[in-house]
Amino acid sequence: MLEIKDLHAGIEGREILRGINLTVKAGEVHAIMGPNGSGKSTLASVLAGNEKFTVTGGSVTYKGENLLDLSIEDRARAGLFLGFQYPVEIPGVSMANFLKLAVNEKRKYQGKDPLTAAEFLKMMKERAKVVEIDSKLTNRAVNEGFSGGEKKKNEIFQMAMLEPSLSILDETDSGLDIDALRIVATGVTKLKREDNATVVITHYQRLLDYIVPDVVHVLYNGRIIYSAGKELALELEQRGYDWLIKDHQ
Amino acid sequence: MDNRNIEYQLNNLFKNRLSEIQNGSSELMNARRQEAMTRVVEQGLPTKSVERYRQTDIRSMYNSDSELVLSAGETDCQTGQLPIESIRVELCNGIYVADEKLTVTEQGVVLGSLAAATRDYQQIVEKYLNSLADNGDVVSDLNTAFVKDGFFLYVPSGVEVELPVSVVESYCTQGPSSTFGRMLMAFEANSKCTIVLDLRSGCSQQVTNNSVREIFVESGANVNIVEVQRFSAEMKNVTTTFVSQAEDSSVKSVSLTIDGGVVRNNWNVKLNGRGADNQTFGLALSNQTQHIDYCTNIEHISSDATSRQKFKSTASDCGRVVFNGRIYVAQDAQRTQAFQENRNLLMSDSAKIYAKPQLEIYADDVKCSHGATVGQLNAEEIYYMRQRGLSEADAKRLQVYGFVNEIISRVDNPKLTELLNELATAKIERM
Repeated sequence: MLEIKDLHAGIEGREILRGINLTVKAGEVHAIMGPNGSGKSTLASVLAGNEKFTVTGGSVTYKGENLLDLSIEDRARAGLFLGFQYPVEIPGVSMANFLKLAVNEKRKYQGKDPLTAAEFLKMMKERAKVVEIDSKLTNRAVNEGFSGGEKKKNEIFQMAMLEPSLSILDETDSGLDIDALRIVATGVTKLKREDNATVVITHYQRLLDYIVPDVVHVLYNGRIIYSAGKELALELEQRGYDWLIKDHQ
Repeated sequence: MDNRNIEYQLNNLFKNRLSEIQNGSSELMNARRQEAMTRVVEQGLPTKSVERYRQTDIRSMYNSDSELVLSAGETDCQTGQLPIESIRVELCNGIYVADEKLTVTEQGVVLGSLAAATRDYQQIVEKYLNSLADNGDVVSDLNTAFVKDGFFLYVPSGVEVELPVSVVESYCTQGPSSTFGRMLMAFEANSKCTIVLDLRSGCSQQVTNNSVREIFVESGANVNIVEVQRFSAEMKNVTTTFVSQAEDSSVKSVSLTIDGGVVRNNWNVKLNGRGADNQTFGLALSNQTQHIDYCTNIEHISSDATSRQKFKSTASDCGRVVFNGRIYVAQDAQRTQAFQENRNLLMSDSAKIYAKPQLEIYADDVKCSHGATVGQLNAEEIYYMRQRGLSEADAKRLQVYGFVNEIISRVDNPKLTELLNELATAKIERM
């Protein structure tokens, strides 16, 4: 599904990603961990197409296409979803209005007819239930006045609505209490299918108690320095990163 | 017209057409004309050196080739009616259109032509007419001198008017022209009413319109005003609204300027009674070379009154938006709460937005605040929406829509809200 080869990228002339190699296959869950400032969020942003960052080398192939050639919105329509670390408030724009446009843009991209208002509302209701989001939130403006936990739940709700092939969740667990964490993680698990993949970026092992990864990667100084099975997360929790990064300083 | 002589030429026009102006008008209106015109000549229309008119040149709105239009003409007010159930009246070029000049409802509500009311309801009109407009404002004086007719509404005490009263005001003339309109609305104690003012150009001739509205809200009365202005690019319009509120009355107004050439809206509110509440909302959407200027003056004369102003605008292309907002709190107006907020969205490098909030407070026990911002489209919001699959253009439009929606959502009537949303959305598409 996703193949990243020797990806270099930076911001304002400063290189942050220094040769990322990563392959994600359909049906897999990957966790990317690493100390602060190692480039985790930059990787997520570059994959989503955030124009603040400049790609200086390497390639990213997504479903056989050159991802880096696609606009932000075409990446999204092609099924790439980024769960934001800090979801943005859009005052005055209702969730329903926003998501209806988003869902129908995706359908148009896939050559499908737009959903009718009734079909769309039904879908909203069903998906809200899946991710245990209060349906009242869906009547409000996008993220406006939402608590930190509500914003993160709302990201998972949008993910449920858009049915992405590849979800990149950027520190979705940060700032969540244990109940919200459980809801978010359960939502992600419920949405897991054979034909989609998830990349979870996280600081803490605790999210991985709920979302069990197939592979755990350690990102440090713009490179993936170590990859292993799900046990690695636990080991990192106990031992920290020092034992891994000392060879890379 | 040589603008240095504008008052001289307006005075000539006044003298030449006086008998025509007076004809069909009543003594109540005619008696004030000459002294009002004299003030215009002596004091002159405000130049751009007058602070409140710094950005809007009233004098340049008048041209020597303008014809004074004193009749309704051929405007078709039927086009693009507001699809809401309402009591409808129509004014063309400021003149009341229907053959039946005054209507009295079962509840005793009187509505119709102002000129007719000055004759048939002389006592009511006498009590109110010009009592707010005659305050040294020369722009209003010019209106008093020339105005021939207008809209009259009287709601007796205790009456709740169930349907909104919608006033369609359209302007259409054969050539470049000047028109004058007037409204007098009196809401007696504990009455309740919603007014919808739908102002528009009936054609694309150069029209300079000067309208004055006097609105009297007696104790405990509750008045809702919704105004939508959709003028042609050739239209120059100054509307001066005066509101006087007695104790425990409440007024909420939402005014939208969707389109126009040069538009100046003055909102003057006097909170004369204890515990009065005023909420004034406004929205200006300016593109191309449209110039939209909102100027408010909220005066707390009595104690324990509350006021809230919220004005928003967007300016794109070479559009210009002006906001002058003033809160005045008199020495005796203790425990006043007055808030003003002005938010502007600048959407192009050549657009201009001027914001000038003012607080003038003479009482010592008050809560007052004001805030004004001029910002641009938020790149983070656009990125977020694009990440969900919206095109950049749609993301921008949605953001602007969200910005303006905050004002439109203040309108209580859902059908009307829907229509205003449509109008605003259509305008945003054009920006």
